[in-house]
Amino acid sequence: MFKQRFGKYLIFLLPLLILIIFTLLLVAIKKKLPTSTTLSPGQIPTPTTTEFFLPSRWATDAGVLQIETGLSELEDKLKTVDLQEVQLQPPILDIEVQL
Amino acid sequence: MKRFLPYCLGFLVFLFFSFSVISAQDFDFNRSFNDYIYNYNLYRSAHLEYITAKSEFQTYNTLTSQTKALEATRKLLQQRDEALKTYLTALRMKLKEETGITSYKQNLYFVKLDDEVAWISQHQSLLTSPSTIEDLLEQSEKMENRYPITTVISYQTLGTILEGKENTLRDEVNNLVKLTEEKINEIRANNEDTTIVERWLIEAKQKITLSEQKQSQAIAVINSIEAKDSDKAEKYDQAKLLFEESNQYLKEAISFLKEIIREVKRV
Repeated sequence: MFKQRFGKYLIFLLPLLILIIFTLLLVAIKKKLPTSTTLSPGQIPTPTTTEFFLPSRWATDAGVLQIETGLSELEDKLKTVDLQEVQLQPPILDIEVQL
Repeated sequence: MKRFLPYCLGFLVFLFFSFSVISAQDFDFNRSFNDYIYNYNLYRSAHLEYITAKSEFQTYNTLTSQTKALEATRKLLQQRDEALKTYLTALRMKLKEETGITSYKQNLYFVKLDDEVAWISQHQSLLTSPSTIEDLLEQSEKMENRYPITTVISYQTLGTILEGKENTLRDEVNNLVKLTEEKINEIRANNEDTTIVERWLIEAKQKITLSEQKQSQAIAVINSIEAKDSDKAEKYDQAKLLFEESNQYLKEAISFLKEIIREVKRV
């Protein structure tokens, strides 16, 4: 008797359970996928500049490394040098004094 | 006791000279620049007082307003001289601290700046005696006539300072070019192909030559400034632009040298 009743309920509930599981699966999959693959205007992807190459025997040479360091330091100096000297412009003075 | 007297005197003389040397060492560009800013602010205050007194004198034309105007004008002229004098001193200190200038050129501008400061000091001393407005205005006119010469010297000194900065940087670039060239020669001596980097090095050297040319143009513009010119500031701005272009060529030379090193480091 009980088995018959349970079997009846199962026939009704089984499609419902399958539907719920299917819906949950869909939601889970959608969460994993990116919402949009296009970039908004103004967003530019960083270009990948990593360049792989086989180092030569000069790559670790002390002289080469010294030049490399010197170049970086000088590059900074060239960028920061003050070629304006705004503070040292001749002062604004009232030269034509009259009464 | 008398035995120690010469030693004591000697010690006092030593102390005196030590303090003189220390105080001379303390006077650097920053100190002179602060002096100039301080005096320039005093000049601006004096100018405000002069404007007010002049306006009162022109409105009321009384003896009281005349005396007030006379004193305000005297104060203004004295403070104007002081501001200009401290400005030229700051400029001299900046020139002194700049290393990339030839000693001949540095001394030439030291003399010119010192002459200007001496003239202003002498002019300043004359401002204490005039008792009438006419006398004061006559002294002011002397400065009015002298000021264009002072401005030319100021712009030329500033140009020399910028030239010194560029020279220092170019010397450093040339030094790195020399080191790179030596390294390329060493690599070639090891029977490795250096054709590409040698060609790039020539291009880096060309950038330095272009930088020198731009600097020469800038110096020519600076030297062309004359006392009678009404566009001294514009000419100086033009020279500054040329100095910046000269600097840009040095940056490009450095960029080329970096590429050479990158090439040397790879197989």
